Amino acid sequence: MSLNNVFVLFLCLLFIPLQGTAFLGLTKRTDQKQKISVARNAYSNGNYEQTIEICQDFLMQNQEAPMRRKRRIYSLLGNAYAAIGDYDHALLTYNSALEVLPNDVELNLALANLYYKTELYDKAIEFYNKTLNIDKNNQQGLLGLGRSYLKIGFLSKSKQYFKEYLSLNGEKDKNVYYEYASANFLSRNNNTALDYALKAKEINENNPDIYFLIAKIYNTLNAPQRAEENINTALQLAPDREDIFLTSMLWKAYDKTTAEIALNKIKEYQIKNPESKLALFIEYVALLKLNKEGQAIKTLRNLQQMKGESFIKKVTEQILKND
Amino acid sequence: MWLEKTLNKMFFRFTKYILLVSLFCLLGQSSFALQQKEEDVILRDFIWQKFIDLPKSKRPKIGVTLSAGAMRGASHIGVMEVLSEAGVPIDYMSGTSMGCIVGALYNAGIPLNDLQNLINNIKTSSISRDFNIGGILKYLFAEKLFSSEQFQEFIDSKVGSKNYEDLPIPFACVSADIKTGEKVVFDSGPLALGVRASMNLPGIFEPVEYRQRLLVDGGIVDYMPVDLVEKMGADFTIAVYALPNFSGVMPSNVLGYVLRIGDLRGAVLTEDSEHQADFVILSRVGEISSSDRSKTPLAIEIGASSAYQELPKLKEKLIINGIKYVFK
Repeated sequence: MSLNNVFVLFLCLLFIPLQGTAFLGLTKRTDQKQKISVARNAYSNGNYEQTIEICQDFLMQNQEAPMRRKRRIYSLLGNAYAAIGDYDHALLTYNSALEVLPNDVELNLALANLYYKTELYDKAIEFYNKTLNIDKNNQQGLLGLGRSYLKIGFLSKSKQYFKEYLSLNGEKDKNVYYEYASANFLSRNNNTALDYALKAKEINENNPDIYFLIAKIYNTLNAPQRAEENINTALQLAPDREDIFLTSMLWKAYDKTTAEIALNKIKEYQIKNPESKLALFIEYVALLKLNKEGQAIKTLRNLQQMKGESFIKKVTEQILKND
Repeated sequence: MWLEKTLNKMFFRFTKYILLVSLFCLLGQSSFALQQKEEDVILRDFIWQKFIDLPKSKRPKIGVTLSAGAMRGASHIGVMEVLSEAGVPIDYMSGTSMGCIVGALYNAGIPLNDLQNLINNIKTSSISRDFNIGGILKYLFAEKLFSSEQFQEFIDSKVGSKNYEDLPIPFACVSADIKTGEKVVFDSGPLALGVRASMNLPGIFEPVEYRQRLLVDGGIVDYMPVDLVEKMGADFTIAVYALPNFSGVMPSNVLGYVLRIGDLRGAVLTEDSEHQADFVILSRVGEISSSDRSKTPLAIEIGASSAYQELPKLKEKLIINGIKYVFK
């Protein structure tokens, strides 16, 4: 055997384990990819328990897996826990994942959304902000902040983030118009609220909540006719909505010209709902506006006798006390 | 044996019925309670709109008092935003220290958004021109306190040299005379001077000399001056307290310890003020250190959220108080 052959043989022997390692690595990579794919399919098909099982196995067996694959698995695992309503484990998963991958947009966003869903709005705000610190134009982050601030009542911030979201999103997501209109209505920016509520109506003509909001805005703007048109449409779309009906009756009862109509309708309503304190109060308001003070006070006394504590009863007692 | 069996049977049968009836009652009660809550909200929203539309002369006069609390007091901005957005009419205002700063700037017409930016980005150089190496050396070795004159100029530049008399809402703030321990009320004259005197932390800033008095932070004599808005003529008083949490946050520097002394004294003083007020909004900012300037955005957020949680109760109390003006 020549020296050259010995050298070639030596090189071959040297590369066998390297090739083996490479081959094993390749197999492992393929295996990891396959597992991720299986977990993703299971999740897409709604097999959340199976997704959890696959993801947990993956994390146990592939501790040295690359970050990008771990991220996918953590994300799927957290989403699967959230999907079955196991929020504690979902929060734990996302938080553990963020310890390894603190700057991952998707994970920060998923955790923020989960905090929002579980009504932990201060934590949701913290993680939506983190999302925006990494990706300042992240639309879901902006929308999440708009919604979270609306929930905690910090309306200037809520409007600011809704506005940024809408400016980035243009005309694509018109469903947000209703939320933006609501935030403006709550902060008594009635003209802006009306603009956006009307835009919301254009894309969703069968949503009673939008008509109800428009009616409330017109009512605040002292446009009773338009308020009535819209509240009537809301009632046509949702005839069983007692909140819309009672609001409509309250408006009518407070107006001398429509108090009689309210009185008749509310009496019909009382036959089916004898326990409604608000109905009795509306009767009182209508009688008062029709200058039937004696009957009005009698109605209030009946209301006073009703069982249970409520704001309506407190108001009643105060009026009777003042009287 | 037979008797025992029969009794057991009867017992299970009755238990079954009792359970069914209880369940029915429970369900009935919960759905009833929910309906009642919704009905309450409808009436509250309706009367509230009528209430805030009433002219000033035809409704109770409302006074708002903002407590001291250093950086925690930034939460007052969030509270004021919620009150303002909800349309709560404010006829009189008072404040101490940070409460005085926020009240004065709000009342001088600075929009709440700008006020947030202003408080979040306030520089130490806007508070004292001695906040530099020279000033610190003088403080340490010549025992010379920092001057707060710069802060007066800063406030003056923001409010446009206004006097108390120029403010749309009558406003008063509290300071203390370190010579006599007396409470000194500012409700007239230059606004910025009163604001400076009200936040003039003893032991850090040199006292403000004014009309033979040596004035320091009002928090040591009246942390939350509810009595001032009452004296001005308020029929209904709202006290806003930036709640401390003594065991949760420990001071970590000299300023922190000085502020803690003020907060401890304030906690004693506010007990009376809380009872005196018709409604108290507690801003749950206890986890924020009084000296931590970086946490003011969070304090503002917590202030807004605390006030928003209390808003339905506040509206109901105000409505009950002023119902005679709505339904005549």
